[in-house]
Amino acid sequence: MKRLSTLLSLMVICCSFLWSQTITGSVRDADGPLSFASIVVKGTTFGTSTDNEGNFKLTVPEGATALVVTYVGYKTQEIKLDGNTNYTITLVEDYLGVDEVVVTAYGTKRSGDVTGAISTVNSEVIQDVPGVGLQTALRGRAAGVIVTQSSGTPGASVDVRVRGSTSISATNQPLYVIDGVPLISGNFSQIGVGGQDLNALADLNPNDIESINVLKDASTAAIYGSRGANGVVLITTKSGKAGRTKVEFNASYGSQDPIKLIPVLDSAGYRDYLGEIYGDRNFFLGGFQGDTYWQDLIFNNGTIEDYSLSFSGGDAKTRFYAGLSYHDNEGIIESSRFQRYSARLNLDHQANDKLSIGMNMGYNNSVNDRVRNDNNIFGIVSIAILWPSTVPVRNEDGSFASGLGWENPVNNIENYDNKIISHRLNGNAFAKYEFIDGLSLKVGLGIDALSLRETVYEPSILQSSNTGTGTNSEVTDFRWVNNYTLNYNTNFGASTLDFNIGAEFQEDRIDRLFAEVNDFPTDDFTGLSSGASPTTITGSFSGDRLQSYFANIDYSFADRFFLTGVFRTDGSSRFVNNKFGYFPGVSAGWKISNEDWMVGRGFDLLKVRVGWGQTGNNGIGNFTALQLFGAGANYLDLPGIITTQLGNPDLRWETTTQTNIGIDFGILDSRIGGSLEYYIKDTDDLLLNKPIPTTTGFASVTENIGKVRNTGFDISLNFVPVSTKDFQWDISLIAGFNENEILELFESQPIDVGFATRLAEGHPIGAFFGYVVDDIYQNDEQIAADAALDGDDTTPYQPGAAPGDFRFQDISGGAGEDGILGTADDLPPDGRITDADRTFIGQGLPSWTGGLTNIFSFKGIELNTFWQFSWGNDIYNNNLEFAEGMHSVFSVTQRAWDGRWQQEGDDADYPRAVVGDPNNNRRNSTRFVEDGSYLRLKVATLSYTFPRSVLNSIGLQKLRVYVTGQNLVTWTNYSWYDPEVSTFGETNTAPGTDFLTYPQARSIVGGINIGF
Amino acid sequence: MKNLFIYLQVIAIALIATACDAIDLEDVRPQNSIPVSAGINDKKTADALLNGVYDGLQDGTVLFDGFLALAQIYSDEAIFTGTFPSRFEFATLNVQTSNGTNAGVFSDFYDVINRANNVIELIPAVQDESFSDADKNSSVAQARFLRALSYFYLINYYGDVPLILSPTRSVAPDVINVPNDPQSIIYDQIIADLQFAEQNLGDGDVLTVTSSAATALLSRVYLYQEDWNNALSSATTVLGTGFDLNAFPYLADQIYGIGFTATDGNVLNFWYSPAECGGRHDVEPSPKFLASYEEGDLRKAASVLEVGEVMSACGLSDTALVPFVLKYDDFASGISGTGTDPLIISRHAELVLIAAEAQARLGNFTEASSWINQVRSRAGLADVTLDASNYMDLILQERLIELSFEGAHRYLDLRRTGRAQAEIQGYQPCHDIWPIPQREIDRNPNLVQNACCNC
Repeated sequence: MKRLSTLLSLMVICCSFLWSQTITGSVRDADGPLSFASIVVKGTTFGTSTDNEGNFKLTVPEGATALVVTYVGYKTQEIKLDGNTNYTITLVEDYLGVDEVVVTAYGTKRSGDVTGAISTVNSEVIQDVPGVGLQTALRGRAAGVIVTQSSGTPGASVDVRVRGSTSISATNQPLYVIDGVPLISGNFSQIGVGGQDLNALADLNPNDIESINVLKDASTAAIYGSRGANGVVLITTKSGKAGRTKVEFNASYGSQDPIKLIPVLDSAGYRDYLGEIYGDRNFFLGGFQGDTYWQDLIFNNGTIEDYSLSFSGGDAKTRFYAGLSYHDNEGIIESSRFQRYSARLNLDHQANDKLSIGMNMGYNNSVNDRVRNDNNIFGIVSIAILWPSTVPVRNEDGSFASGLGWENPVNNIENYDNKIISHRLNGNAFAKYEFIDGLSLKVGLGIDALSLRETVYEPSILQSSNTGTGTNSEVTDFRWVNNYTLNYNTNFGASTLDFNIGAEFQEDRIDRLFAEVNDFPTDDFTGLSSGASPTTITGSFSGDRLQSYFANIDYSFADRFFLTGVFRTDGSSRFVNNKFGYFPGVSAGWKISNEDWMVGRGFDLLKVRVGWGQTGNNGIGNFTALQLFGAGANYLDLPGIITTQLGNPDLRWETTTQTNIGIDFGILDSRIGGSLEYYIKDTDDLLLNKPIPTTTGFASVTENIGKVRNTGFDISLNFVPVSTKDFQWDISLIAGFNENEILELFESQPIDVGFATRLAEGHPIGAFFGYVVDDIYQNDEQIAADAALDGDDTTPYQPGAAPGDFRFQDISGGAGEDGILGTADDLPPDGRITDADRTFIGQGLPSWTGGLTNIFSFKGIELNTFWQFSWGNDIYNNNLEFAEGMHSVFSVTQRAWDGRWQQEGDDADYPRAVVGDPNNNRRNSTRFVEDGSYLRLKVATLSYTFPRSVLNSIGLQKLRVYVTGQNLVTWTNYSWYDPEVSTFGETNTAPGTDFLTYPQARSIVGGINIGF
Repeated sequence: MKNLFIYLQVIAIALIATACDAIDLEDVRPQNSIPVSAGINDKKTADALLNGVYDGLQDGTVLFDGFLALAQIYSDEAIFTGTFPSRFEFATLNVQTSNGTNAGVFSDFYDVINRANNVIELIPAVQDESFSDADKNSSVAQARFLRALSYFYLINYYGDVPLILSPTRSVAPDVINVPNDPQSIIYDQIIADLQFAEQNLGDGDVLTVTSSAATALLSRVYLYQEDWNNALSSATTVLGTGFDLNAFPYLADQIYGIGFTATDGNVLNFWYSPAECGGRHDVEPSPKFLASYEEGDLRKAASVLEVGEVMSACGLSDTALVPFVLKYDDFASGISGTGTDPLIISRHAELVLIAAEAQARLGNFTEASSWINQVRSRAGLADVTLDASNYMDLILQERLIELSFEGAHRYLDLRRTGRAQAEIQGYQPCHDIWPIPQREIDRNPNLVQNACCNC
């Protein structure tokens, strides 16, 4: 008790500042004054920022020893207060960003002190590319982070992989954390439209983001324990700075169009095709008299608009940031659209010198008009490709033409109505109390509340519904998180120590409701109550809880040696017998360039880092571990229950152990700098659905089996070839190399997923598996000769084969002793084509990905080009199975028709056209595997920033106009719409598959940034 | 200041305590499921458990592919006009062990069996005064019937398969890796199950398993085993003395069928009917089948629609561009429609034809002729006289037309009479057995592949 009163009296003393001294000064760089530079009294939150002329005025408390001056892109300077009242401070550009603040989960540190693997993307990058979402902002900016926009669907899912794929059945997406609150992510739609999922993160307004930090290795991500295995994306929203109130207005407007269209047969060509395969030019759909190029009708030039307005500022005690924005993306398929309205208010207040409180609150409302797409017989792109051009849009009587049971794409666009309205409130409140200098407690309470309502009406004019079908779905996910962090930091001698311990509690509650009703009186009544026959009504609850305790210690010595230790334990309601998991991480760094003996040897920065840690993945269903009876197995409208799940009470986390070695360097006045990192990442105890004999009544049970390894390099290089007063050229290269290998599966048994993807030991996740096309049979003699290969000429080599058909390679006669194809003991070829002749024929994951940014600035004019590349991956182009099948009434691409085999001696690329495809030329094979590598000019921006002299005369702080293009140029051998594609969206296991996917768009947008 | 500090401490401790309490890790449970340990403990849950078995037969794969499509396109009854490669393999008699639809059918039947085994094991032990022993026996009998039905299809498609009679509760190797059992043993179990059902069930509507339903299936089982006397006696037990098929209109003579309601409809008409009726038209009556109708057969209009006929069945005045099956014609709401057509398992006409065949096999051609002519006269066709040389042709023809598209009758008839090679183009003896899915062979070291083509 005595000690407590001593403590308290100390606090009372240090609370009573005496306001004494006013100092003035200016901040500049080599070229002139810097406005909005931040000046803060060291060790306090008292501060201000410079005005237009770079000047500042600040009243400092007694005992203040120094000022800390920061400006984005410049090295932070500390100015000792030596009794003078006027200071001129010249900042030096920081090409390497060593002084930039990096957010590390429950704290921050200087970029130069980081010992783990963290990538940072700041607000300029996000802001400069209009229409960019949260995830796409990471694309090509963070080495080792692969961002795949799986389609051109507005508001649809974006796949993000940090250093490869670690998991097969749990999630592979990173954990997103905004201002300390783990975000709800994923797809909450209950109404399938084909392939493309929703993306809960599309709700967030990128304009509000100050910075994104990606924790890539386990020594840093271990602080998020059981959710850290796929990396952690920490998002910090903008906050106000003391000083003059800033107003910013950004507007952009543009248009987008399809990158290319696929040439398919016109009506005359289609009739030739019918004539050849059916012997009747007017067969079935050939009887229609239209000549429709469907792709022209479904694609249009959609607009993209983006407007945002923000206010920020404050004084020494209270700071604020308020932002409003509107985003509208019409997509390139008519009737698809994504609109987002958002508002954010961030406040922080210094109640007294001990207690600070704050609150960040963001509200977003999005409206998403969806179309049916991808793998869907009512999908717009599907039908536009596969429906023959003989079918007119409308019949003579004005009704929509129909055929094959498919949806007329124009009818689909005009009449299918699918709207998703989402509301999201995301925020946190915190209080931080500093007991004594260096010892503080922070209490935080955060929420992320998501509500999604889907309203679909399919009028009777559509094929999919003869009497009208209405569907409504409602999902709410309410998450709260509550955390306590006790922080202590101190200096002694040349050492600094920063220590955190904390506890965190989190709960999710997900409620779903779904109702479908048929038989509407007319299409004017679209509310569910109007329908006569309810067909489906379901509702469910799901949820989980986490209880976590963590500690973190950062030690540094003389700005040369750095040591970080992290530990977290997570308890999860998802597991039964193994509720708690333990996740350690440790890393160390040595800044060699700060050693005395290195000074003057040409290195501005030379630092080596090494880290090790363990993280977990609990991204499985909330109730997977339980053995359950499930309801809903109803018969004749009477309730039914069945055993739905065998369960596994022994389930535990997937554990990822990662070692990271990195080197950072800067030479030639930091004009050349960068990082090179190597990692090896082993994931054990994969949560796998172990397939069991279905004679049990179950297909699988979830167990911890299997191993995956990722190894790779992350490279980031910055180079400033020219830096003069008027002209500067910056180059930055980001590249990631990743090699993925499945080391162990249940009893080595491969798992087939997607269309042609096989997961097998010794192969990477996403490998394609199928037959190998050898050649095309030219005559019956070749077929007869093959039939005799197995020693019996009465059994065919390939049943159904005729001249003009593919000959597939005889690879194996069976799986051999181990029962697994593609291993060393496979039997020799047996002269027959069977399942055993399938082999690994491609790879859906790239080995190299990255981006190259070139920025040329000349007096206010800036050209910024961002090239994105992917190398070493294949795409399984499943479109061709149908569009080039030449076996039925589906339409055919021009190239397949022109290139088909017609007679003996043809050196054809495509087999013969024949009804029913008796040889099954369309089986999964190398025929559909294409090189998916590409290099594309992802973003090019030309901008002009008006000089300060002009701005001052019109009273503005900032005025920038720009025009930017996306996806302007692409070099690829991929033959379908676009190589940046994934039919299965965020799929863990079947990446790089294309099946009638909504393609990417090319866009041109013009915009303006104004600051007051 | 001092107070503030203490308050803060108190608040922080209170918050931590509250959070710890609120975050109980044991207390998160789904709403639509209960842990198995909570169990089946009263009549209500027991009834629901039985409904679950029926529900298993409504699953899309077993319903359409298992009971109907695969066997129909495999035989000369239908041709395949769809796109799915796995069905195409059946249509071309080239079923690979990797065939996914085949795997679905196999596993769906076993899913029903596991559900039935749950009923058979759990219901007798339920302690509920309102649940009498007779009611419990009736529930068990229904489950044993549905299990027998599933095994009947399994052995006819796949030959020797594992015989599993208790519900799966763990994944211990000896529990899950069950070896093949000989068909004869499984047939014995089917008969035992059906006899139990016969004895413990009463009457009921055609969508519930009744005693007659059990006897009717038993009659078919005996027929397949060429046990003519028992087949005849079971058939006549159901039909009774003085039975006249003409008392029922065609298809109104159902004994048992799997039912559907608007909230739980099926997709049968979706697969059979053409685009104009909102369907996908994957299975089309074969030209051979259409040609095998005799002139004036009244059954045709209720069974199929030919090219050029008006599609009034689905509310259209247009004429059909393709022939299609009409036995599943609940087009009310197109594809997502109500789809309430039942899947017919047994009809009186089948028993009449079994009686005809059994009598003929036993050499009693007068009785046999009288039975078959009940079917023919209802169809508006002239009587025939069966004799030793023509009876098999005429009975098979009658079965083909009468029972068309109601199950796997045609394929299994051709097979059990040894006529498959003669009637189905490209048919080899090895086609008599469908491959046990490779997935099952891979997962179960004790399971042996049967002698199928491509195996």
